[in-house]
This record gives sequence, structure tokens and C-alpha cells, in this order.
Amino acid sequence: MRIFYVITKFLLFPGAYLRGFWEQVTCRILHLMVESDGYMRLDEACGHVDHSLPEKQFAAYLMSTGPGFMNFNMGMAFFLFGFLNVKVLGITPYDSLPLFIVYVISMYIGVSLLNCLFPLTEDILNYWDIAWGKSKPVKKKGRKVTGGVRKVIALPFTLITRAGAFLEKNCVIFILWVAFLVWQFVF
Amino acid sequence: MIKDDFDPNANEIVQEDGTIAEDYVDTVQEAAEEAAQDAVDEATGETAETEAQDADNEIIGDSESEDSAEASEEDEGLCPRCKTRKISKGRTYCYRCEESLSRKHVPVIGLIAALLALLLSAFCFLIVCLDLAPAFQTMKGDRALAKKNLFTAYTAYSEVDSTVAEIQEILGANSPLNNFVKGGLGIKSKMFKAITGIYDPLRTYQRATNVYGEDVSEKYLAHDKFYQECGEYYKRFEKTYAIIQEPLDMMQDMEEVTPENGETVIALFEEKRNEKGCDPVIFDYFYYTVLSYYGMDKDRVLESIEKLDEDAKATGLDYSWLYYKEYARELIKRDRVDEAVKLLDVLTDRDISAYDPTAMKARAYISLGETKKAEDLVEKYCRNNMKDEKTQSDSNYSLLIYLARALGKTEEAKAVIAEAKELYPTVPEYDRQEALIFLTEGDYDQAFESAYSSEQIAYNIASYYGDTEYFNSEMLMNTVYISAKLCKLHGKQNTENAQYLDEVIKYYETVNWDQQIIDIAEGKTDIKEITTKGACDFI
Repeated sequence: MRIFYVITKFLLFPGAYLRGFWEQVTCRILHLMVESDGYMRLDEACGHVDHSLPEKQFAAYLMSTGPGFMNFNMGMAFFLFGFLNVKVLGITPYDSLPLFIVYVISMYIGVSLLNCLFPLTEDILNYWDIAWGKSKPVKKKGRKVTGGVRKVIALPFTLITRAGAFLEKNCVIFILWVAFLVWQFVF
Repeated sequence: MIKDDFDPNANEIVQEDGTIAEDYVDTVQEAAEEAAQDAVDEATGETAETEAQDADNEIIGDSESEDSAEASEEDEGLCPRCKTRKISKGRTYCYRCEESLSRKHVPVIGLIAALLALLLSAFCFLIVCLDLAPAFQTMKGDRALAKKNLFTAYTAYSEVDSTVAEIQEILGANSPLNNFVKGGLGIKSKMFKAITGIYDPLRTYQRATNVYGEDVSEKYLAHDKFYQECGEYYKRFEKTYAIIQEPLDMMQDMEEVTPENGETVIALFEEKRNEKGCDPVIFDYFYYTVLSYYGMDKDRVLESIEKLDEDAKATGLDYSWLYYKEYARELIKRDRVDEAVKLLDVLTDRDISAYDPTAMKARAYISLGETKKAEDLVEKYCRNNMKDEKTQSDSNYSLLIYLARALGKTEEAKAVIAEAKELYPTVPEYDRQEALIFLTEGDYDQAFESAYSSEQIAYNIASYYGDTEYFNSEMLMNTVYISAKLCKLHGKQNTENAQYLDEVIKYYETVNWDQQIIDIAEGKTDIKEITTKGACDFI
């Protein structure tokens, strides 16, 4: 599975590279140590950076969502740009070959970015541990967010992100993307 | 040293309760320990020795020696990165290495790639926003197409170009963004698919050029499955038409429509039946049309269309578009309504926006006295063919008027006609329905006025758009003829168009009318028959 994972990341290298980049930027913002030098590595951390785990809840949340948020926004823009024009508005090579190529490339970049949305399992587990492992309240803008509320808020987010990270790690998201594109453009 | 290396922003020093934060204490202690260690290192030259030893280890490259070296370093509590400074308890690296790693610069290539991606994604986002309106229009068409609501689908696809034109107008004629906001051949292909169901394949094939535009290469059309199928039907039709050209020309040359002339034409038709390249189904259809046109024996007409049905089924191809409507009409005329409804179901299943089959089904139900079924049918049709959420389409109004009239709710029908005419002033069917209402009420002058108006609108449509279907339809001719005859017989003839009465009657005298129509026109049959059972409602 690791080989398949690495292959998919290299196939969709724009998304994996940018995901790694945004992770490093987030680490810089949060003053977290970055131990790896490159983003495209031949292991299960391909498209991610080795970094120290944040100790505060918001930092852990940002580390789990920030890079994915950037990839999601850019990926949606790229993907919709290509998909709307090719699939919905029916631009074909007979209309304009250069435009068609631009749309296809845009769709590829979009898919690659949207294929690299979720954090490493360690990041989301770290967030889970902080949210559920400590009970001391966090003060935010004068309002005290109690431990119970904090845990309830963290639960759906953690479940979704954990599931996403699991699916991404096992290449299920990649397979779903391939299935979606085949369904849309072949059948 | 402590002062230089210490980052005051890294940790919260003084907590809310006034105590000193543990992190701060740890950091200060750690920094102090490292500073002391540095001072010792500098004094003894241990750093240089350790570095030299590390270099030797790398050169040797012996894994065993490396492992043992690491193990010894761990034992000594040295930082695994710099291998010079000790690390404090619970830390992975020394303070300096941690500082260095947490301030690690992002690669320049990554920075450029990210900035480029951000800029491009912003551009893509802008184009996506501009494309949304035509995209929603297309999706509306897709949804309608999936529901087999073909006319709505066709209309939605047709409006994509106008939506795109509006956006391009806002952007300005010379805007480079115009290149990214446009509909492609894919939409035209969907339009073509919708037309295939609305019209017969022959007309669809002919309309393909209009839909795609002349500049579209044959290469693209060659890949279109629907175009290929329609082309096959068209080729068969053309070949058969060429074979029966002679009897059809003879029909046109004959001035009088009499059964005798019909026999002559049919004899010539029979000679052509077995010629090579003649499609038996298309031939049978023309044969039936000739028999029907010359008013031949009713059994013979039915026999011909039944043979057509057999031949069509034998081919295994779908010819329902060619003759099901006519076949259903013949069956309804003979009170075989259930069989007719089955045929009409095939047509409405293919296109739920098909007006004629729906109207015929409603007509069939009413003639059977199943008014609830007719109402449900019309309600379902109207629900699926709304122009928008609140506005009825023109065909909806036609059916609603028909239903109200057929159920004897004349005032309601008149109110719907007034509403419909205001929205769609160029639909001839509304005036025809109004004429039928006036005929039912015995106001023959107004009936003729409305019938004449309907005919004029239909004539204008035929002249300007080349669509002669309604103008040549049996239902319009019946209505105009009956209105004119009854106005001549019982009307005051003082209305605006009464002056054309004789002209109209003279024109329609040449038509070989069904006896039922003659009976109504001469006042022998109760005019109210047409509201539920008359031939005027046939389409």
C-alpha cells in the first residue's frame, strides 16, 4: 500500500508538493520544528513534512486543517475551472484545442490538490489527545470554553478528518477520484 | 548568551494568576545549562574533537560503528542533530537546534510555486464565477433531459448561448476573458439529443446543421451516435421517397381529391412497393397517408396502418416516431381507446413534454368518461413543463384550456385563455379553443372571428418560421371550416372578418371532409358533441 500511496502522490505531484509547502508554512507560523528537507519522499509521509507536534489545541487544529484548507480552496478553483468548461459547458478539442488542454491541465491540478487535503494521522491524533486528554478550560475572547464543549466541538471534526486521513493514507480518495472522473467522462 | 538566544515571544511568561510559567522556567534552565556546556566545550576543545570523531565515523560508514556511536551519544544525552550539545530531559534536540529547525526557511521553488498557484487559482475562481450562470443553465437542461422533459431541456440548452452573450457584453467586446466564457460543442450535442426525442429523426437530422453551425467539422458529427442513427433513418427515407416520387407527383397534379383519383395513385404506389432500396415501413406510412388523404374506406385505412405496424415490428427498429400518433388516432376513432393509450404511452415515456400524445390521451380519457384520469394527466404534464416556478408554459395553457372546455367549464376556460393570450399572444391554439367555446355557446360570429384569427396566426408562423405543422393540421382546418359554415348558416355576419367568410368556405370546399365534420358543419349533429367527442379535438 505504501508503494501505491507514493506512486499516487508522485502522479499527483502538484498537490502533494504544495501540501508539504503549506505544512511547512504552518509550522513556521506556529514555531514548530521541521525535521525533513523535502516534500516528495519515498515513504508514507510523502507530501507532508516531519514536524514536532503542537502542544496547544488551536495550534493542533491549525496544523490539521490549515494546509488542507489552502489546498481545498485552490483545488476547487482549479478543478471547477476545468470541470465546468469541459463537462458542463461542453468545450471540446474541436472548439479550441489550446483551451481544451488548459482546462484538462487545470482539472488535473485541481484533482491533485483535492487529493491531498487531509493531515497525517499523527497530527489529527495529537489534536484529539489535546482536546480529550486535557480538561483545563481554554480562554477565548473573554469566554471560557469548557472542557466538555471543547470535546463536543472536537468530536465531529476529528472523526471526519481522521476518516479522511485514513482514506487518503490507503489511497481510497485517489480511487474515488478516478472512479468519479471515469463516471463523468467515460460513461 | 542566555539573553541572546532566548525568545520572549515563544512562551507565555507570566500567567493569569501571577505565577511564572513552567515553560519559561524550563527554557531559562535549559539555556543556562547549554551556555555552561558551551563555555566548558570552548575551554577544553571538546567540540572540535567530537566533530572530528563524527567525521571519522561518517567516512568509515560502518553501520555497526554508527549504531554504537548513536547509542553512546544517547547515553551521553547529546543532541542527535548537532551531536555537540546536551539535550534536556523530555526534549528531542538541544535548544539551538530546536530554534534552527523551527525557523527553517521554506524553499524558494516552493514559494514561487505557491504564489503562482495562488494567482492562477484566483483567476480560475474568477472564471468559475463568470461560468456559473451558463453552467446552471446547462445543468437545468441536464436535469430536464434526465427526466425526459425534452422540450424544457432543449429550451434550457438554447438559452446557454444568450446567457454567455450577456456575460460577454458585461465584460466588453474586447475582453480576453470572453475566450473562457462560452458554450462548446458538447452543449450542442445535448441539444441535438433533446431534439431527437422532440422531433422525428428525419427533421432532427435536417436541423443538425442549424444546431451545430456550418463551420463545425464533419469529424465531430461523425462521433455523435445520435447523429449517426438519425442519418440512417434519413437515408432510408430519402431512398424510399425517391422511389415513390412519381405517385406523389401525380397526387399534386390531381386537382380533385376523390376516391377515384386515390385509386389511381394507389395503383401506381403498389407498383413501386418491391423496388430495390424501398424501406417497407416508410413505404407503408406513405401508403396509409394516401388512403387517408383520399378518404378511402375506413377499414382499408385501418388495415394499411396495421400492416405498417407489423412491418415496423419486423424490422426490430424503433419507428414509433413515424406512425404511433396516427395509429392511435385511428384507434380512438374506432373507440379502441385502451390500445391507443398504450401507443401514446410509448411517446410520452420518451418525452414527457410531448404535447400531442398527452392531449390525445386526455381526449381519450374524457371520451371514456374518466375525467379524473384526464385531470391527473394534465396536472402532471403542467407540473413538468412549467416555464419557471410560477409561470405556465404555452403548451400548459393549451391543455388547461382544453380540459376546462371539455369538462364544460367554459367560464374557467375563457379566463385561462385571456391569461394565456396576454403571456403568449402568438399561439394559434388559444384562439382555436376560444372558437370551439363560442361554437358550444352558439355564438357563431365570434367563433368565426376566433377561428379566423387562429388561422392567421398559424399562417404567419408558417410564413416567417417555415413551421407549417399547425397551419396544415386537421384540427385547425376542421375548426375554421365548421365555424365558417355555421356562421354562414346561423350567424349575423356583422363582425370584422365576416367579409372573408365566402372566401374561406370556398377554399375549404375542396377538402374531402369526413362525414362527421360535414354533419356538424351543416348543423345536423349537436355542436356540443365536439366538446367531448368531436373530430375537431383530434390532433
